[in-house]
Order: sequence, then structure tokens, then C-alpha cells
Amino acid sequence: MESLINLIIFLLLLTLGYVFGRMAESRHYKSIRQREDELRSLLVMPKKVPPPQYALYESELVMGNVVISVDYFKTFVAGLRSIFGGRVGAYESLLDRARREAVLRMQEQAQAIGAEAVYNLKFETARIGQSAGQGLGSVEVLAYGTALLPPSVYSEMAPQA
Amino acid sequence: MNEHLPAGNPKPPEHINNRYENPLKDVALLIAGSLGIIVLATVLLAWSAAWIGPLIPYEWEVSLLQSDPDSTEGLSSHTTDAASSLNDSPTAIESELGRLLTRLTGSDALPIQVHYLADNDMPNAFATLGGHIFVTRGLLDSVESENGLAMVLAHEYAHVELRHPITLMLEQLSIGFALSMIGSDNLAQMVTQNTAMLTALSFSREMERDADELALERLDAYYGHTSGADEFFRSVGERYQHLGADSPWQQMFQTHPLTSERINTIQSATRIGTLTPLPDVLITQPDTSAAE
Repeated sequence: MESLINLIIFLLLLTLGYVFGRMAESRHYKSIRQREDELRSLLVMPKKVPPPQYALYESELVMGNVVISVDYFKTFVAGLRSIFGGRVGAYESLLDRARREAVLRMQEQAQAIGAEAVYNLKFETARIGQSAGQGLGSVEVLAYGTALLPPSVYSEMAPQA
Repeated sequence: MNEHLPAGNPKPPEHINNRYENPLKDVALLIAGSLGIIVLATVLLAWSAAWIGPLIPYEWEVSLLQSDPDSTEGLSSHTTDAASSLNDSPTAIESELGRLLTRLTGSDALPIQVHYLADNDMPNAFATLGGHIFVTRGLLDSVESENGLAMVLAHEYAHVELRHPITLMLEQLSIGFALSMIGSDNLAQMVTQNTAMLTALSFSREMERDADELALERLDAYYGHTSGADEFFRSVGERYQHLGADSPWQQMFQTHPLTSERINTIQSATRIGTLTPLPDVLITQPDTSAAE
């Protein structure tokens, strides 16, 4: 009887994780694609040295930070995958979302301070809440880069700084 | 002089870093695969336990229990009151039961300690790791002759001789090992536990049949006949019918062959002879049971 109750609870958690996880994922991807289109003109590049046209620009650190929780369904699938090996697709899409969201937030910050481009894009990833048991944790993705601001914008900002 | 800059950021290609597909089919395959592996592993481990168990020297089994008296708990739910009687010096009843067993098994038999559970009304006897046989007062109540008691003792001795307790322990250890390999996943653990129990069930029934067979041979060799061998099972069967399906016996009979089946097996093998009366020490007094 007790194991039956456990089974029901487990299936409920699995279904909830699947339904809400899928809903959240498709909503998130829709939002990501839309905002990527909006911010397409704010260039983000991995290059270390800015091109000559930005020689007189000022630089500023910008970053975007995302924490996404793993749902029960994804944990279960990943647990099964740990037996057989292979691509953990459930986690791949989760991290893909986190990276793109982090870049978008960084771009939003760059846009807010009036930057024209972001150079030297870097990523950091950390796992948090892993000691919370059951392997249900969250993942943090940090994107950061050097925002390039036109000299006029920077001189306006300077007195406030 | 100026570098050419792109008009905008490139669109990240989908389906390379994120395979956006329905995971349900994948999950169904994974679950089916892991269940198959678990069932296979459990069957293999249980089978190897039945094979390895008898190869372990009996002295190891005895010393194993001495160093870890708690290890019997997993094998029988009756050991809560049994554990207390493990260290006591033998009573008159225990000595008499031990002598009866020695007469049955001969002098070169495995060293066995017989324990008497005076507080237990349930007609029952069981063998645990390390060569311990437990007999309840309810059992002495339910048998009418020495032959009936000898059958039960010989049956429990046959379990020890066939190394069933250590085989069970090995099965449990291997199942535990299989479980720990699955990891912390709830469903996987629960399903394995149930699958494992089902697998263990058929092994236990086979063990009971083997023990019955060996006990009958021993009874025949000692008394020259097997009359009275079914006394205990008959009285248990009557009691079981009387108590109905909710009785604690139901749990016992899930791992033991059906009582009627056992009675039939015993009766078909029975060679008629004169019953030996119980020694006086082993006849339970009705007033002591009434006082409780």
C-alpha cells in the first residue's frame, strides 16, 4: 500500500514536471527568439580586440546572469541516462536556454547604458543547490563582456559614477 | 582602415545545441531497458546465490553471526523475541529438543543450537544464519507425537544443511547491491524491490520443498516410517482455515508452499508405523497457556 502511494506521488511529480517543464520550455524559447530578433543589431562578439572604428569608445563591463531549475522529469530522464549513457537531451535544451537568456540579459544591460556593441563575450557556469538532495538542483549561467560606449554617452555617465 | 562589421548578430542554429524533440518515446525506451536489466540482474544474482551459498564453509556462517548478531533480523520477522534467547544457557526443553535433533541427524551433523520460544503461541519453527533453530511453544502445543516434532526439527535442520539461510542472505545482499547501482531514483528502487521479491519467492518455495524432502528421508531413516510427519502442517492448516485470510499466517504462506500441497506430498510418501510419544519435558501444560 505504501509503495503504491509512493508510486502515485512519483508519477504525479513526473507528470507535473513533464507538463510544466514542457510548457515553460516552449514559452521560454518563444521569448528568447523574439528578444534575439529585437536585439540583433546590438552586436555581441567573442573577439578580444575591438576593431579600429571603436578606438575612441569607452568600455564598460556588462553581464547577464540566469538561474534555471531542473524539473523532476528531467532529473528522472537524466538518472536513466546515467545507466545507459548517451546524450542527455533534457539537460542540453535547459543549458541552451540558460546560455541564450544570459546573453540576452547582458545585451539588455548593454542597451540600457547606451552601448553599441559588446566585445570579448565569455561564459561561466555553476551548479547551485546540489546539496538539496534528490539531485534536484539549479544551474547558473553567467555571460559577461566588454560593452563599447560612444564617447558622448560615456561622458554623460561619468558624473554619476 | 575600418573593419567590416556584420549588420547584426547571427541567428543561433536550432537543433544543434538543443535537440527539441518529444522525450516521451526516449523515456519509455529507457524505462523498459532499465527494468529489463534489473530483472535479468536480479535473476542472475539470485541464481548465483543459490549456487555460491552452499560453497561457503559452515564455520564462516557461524562466525559471521557471532560477530554480527543483528544480521539474522533481515531473514525472519520472528527474531525480535528470538534474539533475546540467543545468549541464554539452554533450558531443559532446549536440551531435550537438541538431543532429539542429534538422534535424528547423527553425531557427524553440523553443530546446531536449538532455542525454545516459550512466550510465542504461534505454532512455528524457523532456522536462521549460523545454525540456530527456533521452536515456539505453539509448535509443541500443536504436535501430538515425537514424530511430528521430529519432522519439523528435521525440516529446519535441512534448511541449515542445504545452506538456505546464507543463500537468502546472499540474495538479499546482491539485491541490495543491484539497488545501490540504480542510484537514488525512487521509481527504479521501488520497482526493483518488488521485482526482486517476486523472484525470491519462487526460490523460497523450492527451498521448502527440498527441506521437506530431506526431512522425510531423515525421519524414515530414524523411525523406519514417516507416520506423524504431517501433524504440524495439518494443525497449522486447521488453524489457518479457522483464522481466515487476514491471519498472520497468510504472510508466512506466501513464502511457504501451500499447506495442503505439503500435506499431500508428505502423505503420498508416508510409510505407516507406530508413533513415538513426546518426551514428558516437551508436553506443554494447558494451565500455563491459560495463565497467559
